[in-house]
Amino acid sequence: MESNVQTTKVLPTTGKKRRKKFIGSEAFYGYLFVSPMVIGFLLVMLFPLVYSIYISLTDWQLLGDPNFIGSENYQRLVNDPDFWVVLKNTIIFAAGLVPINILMALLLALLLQKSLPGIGLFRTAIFIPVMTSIVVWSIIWKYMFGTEEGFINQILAAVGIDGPAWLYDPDLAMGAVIVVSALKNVGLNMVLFLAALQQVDKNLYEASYLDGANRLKQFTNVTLPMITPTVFLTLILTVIGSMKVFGQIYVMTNGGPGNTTKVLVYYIWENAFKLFDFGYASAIALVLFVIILFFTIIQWSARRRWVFHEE
Amino acid sequence: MKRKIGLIFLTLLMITFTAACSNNTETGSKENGSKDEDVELTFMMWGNEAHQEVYNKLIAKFNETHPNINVTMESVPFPDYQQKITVLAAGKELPDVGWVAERMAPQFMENGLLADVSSFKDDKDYNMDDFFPSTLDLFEQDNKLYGIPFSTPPMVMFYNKNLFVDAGEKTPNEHVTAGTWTWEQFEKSAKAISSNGVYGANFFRDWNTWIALLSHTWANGGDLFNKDQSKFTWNSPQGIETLNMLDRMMFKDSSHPKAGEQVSFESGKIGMFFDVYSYVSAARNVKDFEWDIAPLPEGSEGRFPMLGQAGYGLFKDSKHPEEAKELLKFFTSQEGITATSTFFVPPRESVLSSDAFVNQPNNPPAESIKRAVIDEMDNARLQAGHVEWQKIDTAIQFGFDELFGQLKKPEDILKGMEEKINPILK
Repeated sequence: MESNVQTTKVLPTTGKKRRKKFIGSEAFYGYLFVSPMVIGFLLVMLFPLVYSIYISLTDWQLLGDPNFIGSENYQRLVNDPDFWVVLKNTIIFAAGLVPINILMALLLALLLQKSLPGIGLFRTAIFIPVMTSIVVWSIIWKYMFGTEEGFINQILAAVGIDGPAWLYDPDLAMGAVIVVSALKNVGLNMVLFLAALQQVDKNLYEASYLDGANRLKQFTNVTLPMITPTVFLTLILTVIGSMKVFGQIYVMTNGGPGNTTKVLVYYIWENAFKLFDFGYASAIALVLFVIILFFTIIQWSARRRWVFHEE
Repeated sequence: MKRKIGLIFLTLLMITFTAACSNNTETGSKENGSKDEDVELTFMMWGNEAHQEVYNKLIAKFNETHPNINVTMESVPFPDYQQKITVLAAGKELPDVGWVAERMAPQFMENGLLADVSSFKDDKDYNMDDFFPSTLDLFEQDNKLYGIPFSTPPMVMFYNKNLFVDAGEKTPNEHVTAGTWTWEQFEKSAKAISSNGVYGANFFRDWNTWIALLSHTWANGGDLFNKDQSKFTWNSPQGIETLNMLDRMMFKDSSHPKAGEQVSFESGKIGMFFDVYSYVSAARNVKDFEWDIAPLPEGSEGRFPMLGQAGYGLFKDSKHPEEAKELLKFFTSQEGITATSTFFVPPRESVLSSDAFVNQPNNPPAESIKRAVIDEMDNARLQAGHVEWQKIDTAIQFGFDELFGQLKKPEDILKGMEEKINPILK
């Protein structure tokens, strides 16, 4: 008993001490390992984010010192007619891009999921634009949409149609940019859908077939519910992406004609780097941040209602 | 968004760090450095390759007398130039010497980016009196001089002679001699030489040089701003007529390209092209057709070509202000201005009146240069910039987009510009 007590007395304490030291050092190494990420996050993400909140409360013009002006930038924002136009354009862009992109990606994935010889070629062809630089992609399309000597209007001319000035017509420019953006990124969503489709249990198709479901019923009652997690993922990514669109607008239309294609990020850039109004630009950037946060929260909380199964 | 802003700030942060570090080392070396120590200078400009070639030769000449000064030339495209300089200024990474265009000067001077070079006046050999006094106005403020001009080109008309001859029309120069070179005649001629795919005239380079149209407004007695630049006055009968003319030419006569068409004068598909004389550097390469230059058309009040102006500025906070001054002095000496006068209308009287300026290979005939450039110097008007020029330009460009898209009538477009610009001017 004595020895028993002793051992229980000695062992736990030394064990505890050892463990304490051990746990301490493990945590230390743990922190050490995550430190590049954490420091990077603090320096590159959190610090600029907090700093931009401060900038948005000043009248910083890039040259000279920022003066604190309180909520003046936000008051200006509410009364700025251009801002509301820009906000409307951003929503139009997202409302156009998201359905086109998701539907097209799903359709392509359904077409290309069959393992036929040479199918990889088509999958690659559709995925290549995703890897292309957005600037290169936009420049090429800018030429394709050219009024006189553009590829599209040349083809239209060959069949006797006088093609419009795509990027200079206020009714067409936004549509052109949406199509170009959808084609650029459809490949990524398609690959995600392909992966999801291939994970759908084949037995379910057999079972539904025996129950008398046709192809359409199979799709709506088996395929679609089974891939809802992926639909959710692509939806959230595409919505956020469409809110942040900049490159194609900058290259193809410069926000024009007038301001029919001017979107939020372009407006931020214009205020910051063309008009050097960093305070105002930061205020708009914060509004964009809140909008994206808002959409993400809504989608996140709505997902329980319609996302079928999730691990 | 977060990432984008983050990137920008990180870049700024890094620029500031490197600037801070390099500043320290530089001041250290400056204290114990002698005059012959190797010195690095940066010269920033927006010139094309032909321009850079001239400067390479000029810098080589400079190195004969200043072997210790190593000059690095950097070219930034014109549309980005002002933005680039402003960002560099914020990061304290400005070049030592750089080009400054007329409409950038007020912003640079207001923010104290340029150093005073009035000491050049005291140098007898430099001979400051050789400069036309009017060319120095832009850079003068409170008896100090913040830059030296190197190019003061009036806007001229480049025309494709073949198109006029083929259409059986009188050329602009023939109209000038006959005294019938008016804006009405210009519009008629433009229509007469237009055909499928060929346009009589083009006012725009890259669709943003709307300023060329001011010559039309001036010729009829209108102006962009009032005298002390406190009010936008383009919304006037003269301004409306200017926009109406463009509207007619684009959409009724089809004698002017529509927005989105990139038709250059060099392609031979433009009859008359408005640009400052410096454009000869590109026009000299034209091989496919004959071209010439002519003065702009005149209106009821006379003929007023816009005067472009570009100069060199000595940027403040240069690490080697003395050496940078030497370089600037050399660039603007008689030798330097003569070298750059292959492209640029020289601000020195001695160079402008010399044969070297006129007799360049592939230049238009000497008499055309005399008539369109040298004789027009007195009529030429400088469109002064404004501290907020970028905002003004954006607002006006917006209005022209409305015109190109036929969204609004000229009267309403000018009214829209007025409503946006007047608050900026206050």
